[in-house]
Amino acid sequence: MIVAGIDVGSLTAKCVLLKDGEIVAYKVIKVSPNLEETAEKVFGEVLREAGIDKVDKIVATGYGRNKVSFADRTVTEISCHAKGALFFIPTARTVIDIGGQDSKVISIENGKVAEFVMNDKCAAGTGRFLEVMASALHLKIEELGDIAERAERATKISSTCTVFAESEVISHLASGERVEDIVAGIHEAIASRIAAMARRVKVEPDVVLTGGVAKNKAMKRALERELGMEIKIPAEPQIVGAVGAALFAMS
Amino acid sequence: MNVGYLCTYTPKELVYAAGFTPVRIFAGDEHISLATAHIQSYACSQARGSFERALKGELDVQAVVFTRCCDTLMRLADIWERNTDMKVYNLEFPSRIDEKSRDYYFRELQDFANTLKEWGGDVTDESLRESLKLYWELEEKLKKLFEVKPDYEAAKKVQEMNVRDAIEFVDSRLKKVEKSGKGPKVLITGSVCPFLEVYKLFEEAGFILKDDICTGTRFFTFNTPLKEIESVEDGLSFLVEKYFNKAPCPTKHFPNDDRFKYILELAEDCDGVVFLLLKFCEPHFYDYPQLKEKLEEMGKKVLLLELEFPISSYEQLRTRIEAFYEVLA
Amino acid sequence: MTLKKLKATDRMKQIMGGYYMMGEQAEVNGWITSGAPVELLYAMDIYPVYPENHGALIGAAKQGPHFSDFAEKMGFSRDLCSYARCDIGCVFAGTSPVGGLPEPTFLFACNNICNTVIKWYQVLSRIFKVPLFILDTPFIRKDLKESYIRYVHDQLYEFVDFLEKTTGRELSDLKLKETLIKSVQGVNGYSEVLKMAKNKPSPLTCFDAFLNMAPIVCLRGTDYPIEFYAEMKKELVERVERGEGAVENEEVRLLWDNIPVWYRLRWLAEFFADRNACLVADTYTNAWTGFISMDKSDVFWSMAETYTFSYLNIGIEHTAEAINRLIDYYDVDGVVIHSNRSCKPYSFGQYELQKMIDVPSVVIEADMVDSRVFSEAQVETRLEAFLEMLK
Repeated sequence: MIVAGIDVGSLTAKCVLLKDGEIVAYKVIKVSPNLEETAEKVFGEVLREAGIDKVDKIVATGYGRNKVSFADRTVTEISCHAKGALFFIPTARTVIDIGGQDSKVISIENGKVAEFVMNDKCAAGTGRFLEVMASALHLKIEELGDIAERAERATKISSTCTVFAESEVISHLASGERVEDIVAGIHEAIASRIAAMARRVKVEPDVVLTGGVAKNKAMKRALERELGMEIKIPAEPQIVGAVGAALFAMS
Repeated sequence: MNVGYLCTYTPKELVYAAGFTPVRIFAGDEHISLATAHIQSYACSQARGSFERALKGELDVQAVVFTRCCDTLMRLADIWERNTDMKVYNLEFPSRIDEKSRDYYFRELQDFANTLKEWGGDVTDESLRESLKLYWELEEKLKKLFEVKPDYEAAKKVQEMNVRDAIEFVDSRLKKVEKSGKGPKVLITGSVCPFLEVYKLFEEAGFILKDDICTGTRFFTFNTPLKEIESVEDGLSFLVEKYFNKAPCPTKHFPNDDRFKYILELAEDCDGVVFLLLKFCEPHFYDYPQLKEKLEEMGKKVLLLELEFPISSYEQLRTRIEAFYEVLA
Repeated sequence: MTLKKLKATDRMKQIMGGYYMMGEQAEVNGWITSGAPVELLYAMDIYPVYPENHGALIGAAKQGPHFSDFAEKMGFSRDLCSYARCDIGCVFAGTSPVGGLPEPTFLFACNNICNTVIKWYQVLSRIFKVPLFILDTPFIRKDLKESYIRYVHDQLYEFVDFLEKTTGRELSDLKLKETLIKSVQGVNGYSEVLKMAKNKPSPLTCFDAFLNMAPIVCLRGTDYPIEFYAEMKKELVERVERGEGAVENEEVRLLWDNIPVWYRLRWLAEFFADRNACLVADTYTNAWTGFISMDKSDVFWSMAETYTFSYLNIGIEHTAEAINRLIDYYDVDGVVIHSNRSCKPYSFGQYELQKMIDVPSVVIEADMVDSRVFSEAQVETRLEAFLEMLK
């Protein structure tokens, strides 16, 4: 049985092919304004890579899940991230996903979602926050983690609002703070926001961090400090949601 | 035992008379994180910031007294009780301040005195007489100090001290204080602002300050001369009088719109009025448009500054305050 | 899928149309808050105007941002209650979906639902320059103290004086007792309607309850709610006899907390119906069933007690108990919690309540009238995930 999971997020789209429960191919692409086209594109690329032309079942998830008209059904990213995280790390009890515009903390009991919380409407504590800050500092989002690693101390960012935080960052620059320290401060601000949210559910080990941001080592460490717990990162953190979707397609 | 409170309608005289130290709780400088798990982000940062400090274990208080001043603090009492080891008491200060609510408030004070007793404190004729006298002394001295020059640092510090130390502290400030120079006079009105840098920004811009702030003059303006009391009951009646005559606050309902009258009178000798309002503070924000209109009719210039604690960008504030100075000068 | 409509809703619209028409003709009227003792007004033939109901109506007509904007332009902050913003906005706009409310003879605010109403009505009293009466009900965080009831009781007498002076009319004891009896009958009838949701499948959803709650709020103490809810109940009994649910294939039973998201009522109703989930009850409409324990020997004392111990004027332990009672009675699987930016007393404490109630819950962020703070994608994801979790 060959199944596909497609995760259309607000920044990237991911597609995973599973053959008898094993990953045979996956792709991550940037999202274009047309979500339907994006989904078709990422699906097409994965098929090409795997050298097959058809799958038995497709499940879509993520922010744009309802735009994937060729999917057999949709499942939310909460259920998919839980399932996907368990695929990579079977001992996972808590999943933290820092998404483009939604971050979530999911607590798992007996292999199922027991509770979850998500950020309120504002973007602080999401990938979007990092993106805005990166552009304010004229940096690439992928570089942020490495830059933060070179910080001597973390500059305090006290604004919780993305817009205010952006001007705060600019004024820190103007007053001569080191870019490395500011970037470290940005990581701490997000980590503190996420940790605050996580406290509304039970945070129990193993804690797994998913989403593209999980590749950022500084973020992982900032979160570990805030939560006082070790965090595990799946081999391919960005495709966890898509893997979860594919697993739903199998059942 | 230290007994914390947030609202200046808390009868701290009674707390002190019971042998406890009343301590005002302010929001801190730190980013609000722990509190976020217990109360939504559309609660004001005074509530969230104060609670944050309680959760972080930064407060050396063993009990907290709430009064019904707004919906947020009304709900915060339960949330506070469930998440800290502190004793929590809610004294239901009436929302109507008039003849009809006097008896009721007297009963609330009696109940509060009984609770203080349960907490191991004892209010006696003697201790209450002493406490009323000390607070009267402190308030008179603060008034004197502010008449020469407003001293927000002193006002803040004394609220976190034992009243005897507070009097001594104000005495030391009185010795050093020098009259402020010349400049346009501005009335700052709003709820609480324990961040002293804000007042400094005004002074640095060249303003002479006057305020209607809950952590400033509203803390010590009671308009009731001290009376010798015969008994605890007598003392409670005096407290009813004292707190009903207190500088009015927008969380209460007064006959004849006393709150507006009070502000308009305060503004008379000022060149401008600054509303220093905390985001999400309903009582003040409801008053703002109509009060502003009345002030402008009086020919006063008005500026609204919306704050969130901890204050993240003093430079933004500075620009606004300096621009306002340029408008007035 | 199409939603099943209750015939009663058409009748409700007629009644409320009549209610608004009555207002245009009324000689004297008082603007009143939703939790206030309206019986005193009806007993003196004073027409009660409900700005909150008006706000809900504006929300349902998706006109919230439009009318709120009039108030915001005058300097009223966007962080203030959206009912208040719309109400004040309509005054400045000089109109509303029902042509604006009649100008008040007096204002009557009771803070048993929030402290906000005091401020809101102060604003109105400065605009209209009419007398304002505040009925101050102390918050019952723990115990209902006798001194609280005494205070409210004395204010009720004072309010009668106020009414007599303002309108030149006299309150008849007999008329008041009659009105209170009708009020009790209306509340009981309404309560029976809501209790029909105990049936499986439930013949009504909380959306039906929201749509049809206006008569118990605005006309309590008159004959209208008594007749209307009897009729509505009949229709529901028929559904039960036919074994017909409000939602086809009811699989999950849920409870709603907080004021409805008026501009998304239909969207939410369809969302849940499509997923075989039925919101069988809610804490909001049930707030109007708890009250009136009428001791005929001292009706003022009873009124004082009833109106002080109201759902939004009690501490979190009382609230949790009330919610758990509903969970148990209606046998619900989960609670959908609306964190309502406009209603702080209803919303603060919800995170604690989540830990105190007997079933899982989910929080969605919204506002009762201001659709600008509503994010469809976010709400949809949270609700879908919650349903996936429950199944």
